[in-house]
Amino acid sequence: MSADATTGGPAAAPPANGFVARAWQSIQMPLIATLAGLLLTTVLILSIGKSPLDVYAALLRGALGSVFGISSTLRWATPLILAGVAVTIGFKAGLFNAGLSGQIYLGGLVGSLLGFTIDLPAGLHPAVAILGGGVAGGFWALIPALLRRYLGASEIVTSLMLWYVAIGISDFLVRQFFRDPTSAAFLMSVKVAPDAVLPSFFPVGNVSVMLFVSIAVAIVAHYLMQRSRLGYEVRLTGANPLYAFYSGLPTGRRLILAFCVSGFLAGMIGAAESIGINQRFVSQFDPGFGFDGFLVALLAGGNIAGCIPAGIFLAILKAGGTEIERTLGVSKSIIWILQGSIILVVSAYRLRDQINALFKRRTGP
Amino acid sequence: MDILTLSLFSSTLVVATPLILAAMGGMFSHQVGVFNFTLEGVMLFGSFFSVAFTILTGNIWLGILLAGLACIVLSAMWSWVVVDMGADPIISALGFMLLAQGGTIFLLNAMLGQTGGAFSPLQLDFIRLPFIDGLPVLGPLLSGHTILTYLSWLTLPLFVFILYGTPFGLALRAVGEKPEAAAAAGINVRLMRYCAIAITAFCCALAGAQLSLGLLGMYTDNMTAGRGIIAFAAVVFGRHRPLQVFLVALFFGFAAALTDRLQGFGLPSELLNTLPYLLPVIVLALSGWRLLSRRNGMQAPPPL
Amino acid sequence: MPQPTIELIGVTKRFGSFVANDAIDLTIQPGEIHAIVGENGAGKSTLMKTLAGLHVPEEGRVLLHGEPVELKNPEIAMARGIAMVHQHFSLIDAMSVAENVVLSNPPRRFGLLQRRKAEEIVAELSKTYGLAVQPRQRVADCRVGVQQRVEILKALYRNPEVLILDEPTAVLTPQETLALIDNLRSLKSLGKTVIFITHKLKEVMAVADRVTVMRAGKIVLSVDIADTSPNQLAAAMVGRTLVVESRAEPVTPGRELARLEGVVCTPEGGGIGLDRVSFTLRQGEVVGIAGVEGNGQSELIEVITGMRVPHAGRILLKGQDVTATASPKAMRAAGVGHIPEDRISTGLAPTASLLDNLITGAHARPPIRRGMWIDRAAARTHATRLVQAFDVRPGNIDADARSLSGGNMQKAIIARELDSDPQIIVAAHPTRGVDIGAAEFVYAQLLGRRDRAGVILVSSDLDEILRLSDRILVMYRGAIVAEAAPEALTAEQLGLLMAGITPDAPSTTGEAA
Repeated sequence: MSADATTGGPAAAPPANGFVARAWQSIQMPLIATLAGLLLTTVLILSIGKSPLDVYAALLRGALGSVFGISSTLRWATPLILAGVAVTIGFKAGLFNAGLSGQIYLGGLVGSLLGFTIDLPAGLHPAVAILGGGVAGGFWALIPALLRRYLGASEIVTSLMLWYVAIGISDFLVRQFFRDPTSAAFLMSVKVAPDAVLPSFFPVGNVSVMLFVSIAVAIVAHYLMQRSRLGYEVRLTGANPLYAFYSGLPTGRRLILAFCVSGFLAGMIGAAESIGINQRFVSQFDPGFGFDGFLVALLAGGNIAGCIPAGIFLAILKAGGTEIERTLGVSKSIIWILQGSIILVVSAYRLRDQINALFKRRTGP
Repeated sequence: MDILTLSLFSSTLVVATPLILAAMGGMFSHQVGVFNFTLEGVMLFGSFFSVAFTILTGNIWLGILLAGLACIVLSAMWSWVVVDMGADPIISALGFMLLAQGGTIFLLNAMLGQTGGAFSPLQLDFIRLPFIDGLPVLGPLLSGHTILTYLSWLTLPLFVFILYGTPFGLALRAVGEKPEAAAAAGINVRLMRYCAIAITAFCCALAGAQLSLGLLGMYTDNMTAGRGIIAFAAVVFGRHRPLQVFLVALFFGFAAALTDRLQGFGLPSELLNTLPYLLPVIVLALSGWRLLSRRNGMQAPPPL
Repeated sequence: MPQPTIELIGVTKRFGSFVANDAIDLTIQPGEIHAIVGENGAGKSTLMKTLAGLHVPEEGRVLLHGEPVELKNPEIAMARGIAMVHQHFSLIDAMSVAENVVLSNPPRRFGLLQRRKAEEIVAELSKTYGLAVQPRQRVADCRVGVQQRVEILKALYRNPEVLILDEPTAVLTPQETLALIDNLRSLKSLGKTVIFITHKLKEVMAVADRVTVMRAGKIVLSVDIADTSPNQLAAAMVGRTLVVESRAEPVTPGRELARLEGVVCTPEGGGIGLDRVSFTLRQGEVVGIAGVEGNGQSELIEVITGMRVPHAGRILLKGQDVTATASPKAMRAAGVGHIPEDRISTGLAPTASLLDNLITGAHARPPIRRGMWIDRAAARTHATRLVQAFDVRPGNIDADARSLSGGNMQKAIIARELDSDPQIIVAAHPTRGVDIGAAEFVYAQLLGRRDRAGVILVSSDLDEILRLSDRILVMYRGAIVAEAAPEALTAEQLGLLMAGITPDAPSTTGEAA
């Protein structure tokens, strides 16, 4: 057993036995990365003359210190958990769904379209809209998936490019056909039918049943990936596509399946945002769920169920971020800096080994 | 419809400049075997810093130079994570992009006290080439561009020379082709990778400078709008062949210029705006098709 | 007695608890050709890598010309005049011969690369040492024998005093080997000291001045060639008197299992492919495919296992024409099992658990498959059974597959492949990089299946082929150039055939580049 020094790549982690050891191993890197990120943001906060403690206190206060805060956190957790699951499913098949945001956008369009063009009873309407959004997202993911499967085109670039295309198409359609005439400043569609609105059950803010859907999707997806035959084949395709193919697995079909499921979940996010939070299609409604999804997936360490705590963690950051801006005048962009540096650090595999080595040297053999 | 006018080709050269600079720079990273997806993030930093430092120093050349250095330093963070710490280049590049988006907003506020954007007091001059300016067709086409545009043309012969005519270039190519062989020959693989990424960063900084200082005279949040990703697509398609990367980047610039031109004809702007992004998708699909026809019977799903 | 060029005193190298070199005392005299022999795993490469600066020994000293030195890295060793040519080439395929040779220190003027000067230098070196190469040729277009000369020239460019060669004849035909032996003699006459590692005693007797035998990390014998014999060396290598390997009992061939008729392939980027290959595999027989690597064996395996669709010809499995529907899935369904050449890239998913790796294929059938689910208990039972039956160590099925040693990976792969009871077993270099015990196990398994299956064995290990095969087919440049029973062939004749020379034609001495 040896670490490959010249070509890089993670050396096999020492086998961990026991639940606690395994849990520690999976949380190690995200924890270190978060601390490193916090270090950077602390330095930056100090550089602009504010107190880091005030900032972090505001963060926690904004996220958890009030009913509104908790509602905010849960509101953000809903799409973030799903986004993390969507990205992770792609990862399992060895694919990067970098264009998640495009699928979200189209899902938002179709979801709101279904919201104001058709007529259905109150229980059914939101469900249909969300599923319809999912289908749109799945379809939008099908394009890069097919290009990757049959032509070897990088799904990272194609899905990312299609993000801009999705924005173009959606904005155009809304501007041409579905524009809300009363709004001159923003580009948004007419409101969806009242029956289509996803109602909030929280006393304050906007937390809908979608939260439970997200959590349920995470659990079900995790279970399917681990225990079902399809899940096994997807995982093996991601682990070593050549080996999977040689073993007779239909790798092409599994790649497409995983990517489309990822897109489907993304579409659901967009639809839920549109009929739940905004109650219409709003241009640029997506505040960066694509990136956030990646961060959640990274923090979850490739574990689908782990997207639940990871999503909640990121939701805390987001909810707290608005509070920071509101009360302290520190730009929300500092949260993005935090997110970016966490991603940078958590992706550095060898850092884990080096830190472990550091600990071993300290505590002796 | 007279679309194919001289001014279209002239504006192609202008629009393509940041794409060419970033793509040719990105080619260096490709040469050493690094999958450098940070072009977008670095370009954004470059467009910001060139305006910021111009404002702070009052000198446009110093501004651009400092921007280049700042981008090299920031990119070195990514280099360390990928080269020394074995990070996945794509994930870490996405992290870098986030860092760039957040960092530029933050620094705009912290360094200049502004939000949303900043105006630059100075702008790059449009240079009139002495002899060519008077010529009938070539004049309006080739003369009157910023120095960065002329620099972008220079990258082709310069980079070809560096890569194939110098020992440095030989070492770079060796590292990209087979790092073990390069290491066995005494080449410092790690240093070469850092160098190549630094060159990429400097070129992307220049690309960003062209956007802010060359075209608009200002910086606005997220002004790169995916240009770095398009430049990256040019590198993916052209691989390590300088001429090919150059031409693809130029072609993408043409598409963007065409889009701008078509807007004047009343076609919906949102749809037109998707063209520069659709093009790389088509190009990648075609390049995959070409590779496919050469595969001669192998069955497995085509690798990247 | 002149001062020895190199002295190793008490050199010990450990990898964890494994002792690769155990208190080695060795002397190399100036200007001699010194052979280091031993079986796989005896520690020869490790010892030489220590000299070349790739390993730092835990104990012991190294003296060069009587002076103690610390060879901490290859650069320092090179500066001290020690260069090593490794078994696996590190050449850059896309670059020319000249560029590869001068890479470490390209001739330059005012920062400009002087390509023509480099080519001149290489031509000079080539003439001086008798290593024929074409400086402008792309390495990718060079044959293996030529590539090796480029590697040697690369080392000679640094003007070393001592040249170490690790298994230089492993990939050469007997004719190329003769050419290399001539080269070694001219190196000696030009004042170089040569050390070469090998397990082929004939070469040792032909060219070495002194020979050192290693076994299990220790030196067991170090003598002048004049004072020893191949038998003494072989006995020292193995540690027991040699027992003539008995060949496996042949089984009467049964029904036809696989047949290729006129199969033609042209792989991407040119290259050899398959040139109207036809042969038959019957139940109960082991067909050995001999040939120097790169003569179409890989393509042949790809065609039989469904990875590659032929341009022309037919493939029949158990009487059915499967040419049109060939795919790995179809071939497996038809009863093809595959022990691949490259464990890590096509035999396993290294990052997945051993359990996941062992149930591939079986996962789609009951009892492991239960509708759309995978029965975890059944899967674990299955994997545990395989691990025990095939003695895969360590037996932790939840560990990542990559944590296993090469030999155990191979056993796991074989366990999985054979468990589905394939009738057509394709084994490609099945014992490469595998220790003796595991290799014997592999042979036993393959031979033991003959009552219900046929085996196609592809290997560049001639002894392996001679020992296991009922029939031997020789491949050269994509075509089957000969077919014979092993009793009718010697290694010499095989080597000739592998080099495309039919035994009746007059033999050529040396080779054109």
